[in-house]
Amino acid sequence: MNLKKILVVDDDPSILDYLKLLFEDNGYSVLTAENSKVALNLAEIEIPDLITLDLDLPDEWGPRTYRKLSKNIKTRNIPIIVISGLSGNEHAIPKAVASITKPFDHDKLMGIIKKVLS
Amino acid sequence: MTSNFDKITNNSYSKCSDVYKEIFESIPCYISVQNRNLKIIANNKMFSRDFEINLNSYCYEIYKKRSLPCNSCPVVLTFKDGLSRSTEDVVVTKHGKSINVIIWTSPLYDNDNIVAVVEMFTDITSIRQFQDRLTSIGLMVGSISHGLRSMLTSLDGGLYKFETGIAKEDQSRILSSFEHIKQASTQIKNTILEVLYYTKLRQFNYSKLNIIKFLKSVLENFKEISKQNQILISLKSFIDPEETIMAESNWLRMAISNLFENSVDACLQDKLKTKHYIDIEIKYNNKKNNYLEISIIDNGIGMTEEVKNKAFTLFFSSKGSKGTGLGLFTANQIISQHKGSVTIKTKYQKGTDILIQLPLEMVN
Repeated sequence: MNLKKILVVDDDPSILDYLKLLFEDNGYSVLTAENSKVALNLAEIEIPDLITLDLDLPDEWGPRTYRKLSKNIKTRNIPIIVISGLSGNEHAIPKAVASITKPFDHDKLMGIIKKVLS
Repeated sequence: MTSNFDKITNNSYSKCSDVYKEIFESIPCYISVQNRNLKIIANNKMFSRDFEINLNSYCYEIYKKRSLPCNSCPVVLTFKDGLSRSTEDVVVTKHGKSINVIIWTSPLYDNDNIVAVVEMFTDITSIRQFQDRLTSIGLMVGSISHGLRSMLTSLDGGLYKFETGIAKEDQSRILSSFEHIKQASTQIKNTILEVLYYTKLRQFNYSKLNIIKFLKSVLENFKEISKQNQILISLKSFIDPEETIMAESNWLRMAISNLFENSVDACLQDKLKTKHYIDIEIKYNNKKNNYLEISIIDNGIGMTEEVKNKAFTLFFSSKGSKGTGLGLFTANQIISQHKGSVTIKTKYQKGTDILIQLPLEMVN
């Protein structure tokens, strides 16, 4: 069986760890990236089915990463979910399929992800 | 030739009844009367109490220590159109103290001509300080809320691990959840303590503290993270093992933890070296009697000159979303309150030495 693939982008290792475990427990295959550079690279090679994106990355501002993803023909159609601690983050990437503020309810997050990936 | 200000000083003012003079002198504000050249031609008692008055001195020399008039001087504007002005400024007293003042001006007429302007100001420094504090508290809430959200998410992560670890009877997941929760809750606790420290000026309750035991217990909290990341921590003491200092142990613990955490972070951020160490040395200061020196020496990423200069500045952080800009600021404040000091020697990409000086006895 081919598992659906999620790329998790966040600069906090403990949050990466949490999301990886949560998604794997729910039957997805997970890739992680601590910064934008690694994220863009992985997205292009692995073409994940979904990307969760933090806005405050050490090397680049999340919306800029999003723009690069949307300009690349290989990655432009991958749905993005913003998961960030910044309030008002729903305005940062208007085309994201969902914007979630930290801390979040993991059942709700899984509800959204299942819907997007079904 | 009788100039206009002579009319004011010689005629009007000297002809005033003693009662009016007494009132003018006793008004609890700073009052001066200035001519068109901005020279002070009369002033009240409070003014001469706090400002050096020389005959015919210019106002800007007296309380602004300037050689030229200020831009948009309210007195000049009132001379121009006869309207009262109100403005805020900072002036310097003859004792060298800067005070925030609110200023009002009002024209003095002789027939239809403005012959002088009265400038009255009052000290509002304490209000400004209070406002600054409120503004910073507002700023602080904004700046830490993002960090707190991440810490709470991390705590959720630990709880999720714990819960699912039990459901799956996965021993290693349960164990790792414990470390995860401990780390997140320590971060949250420290951030909240920093906020509490900042929002109220603390009166410390000092008591005797065995400094070596104390340092060892602070380091205990960093055991796990340093083991995981292969950072070698060593503590070398050159003092009497029973040595005590007078300290407020809770707050000093937070201050030293913050400084120490900074060194750990500096090692974690450094990708150039394969082996990292943090050496803590404690000795007596041979120049200043009755002072202890605690050095925290790391070979982490170090700081650039700019970061070093701003290190103790409130809300400055070089750690992006992970920093609140409170840690080193509070550490420095707490150690100063203990009559000690913190200095940083650092080289970018090489490492940092933090030197903490603390007195053995508290002298008021």
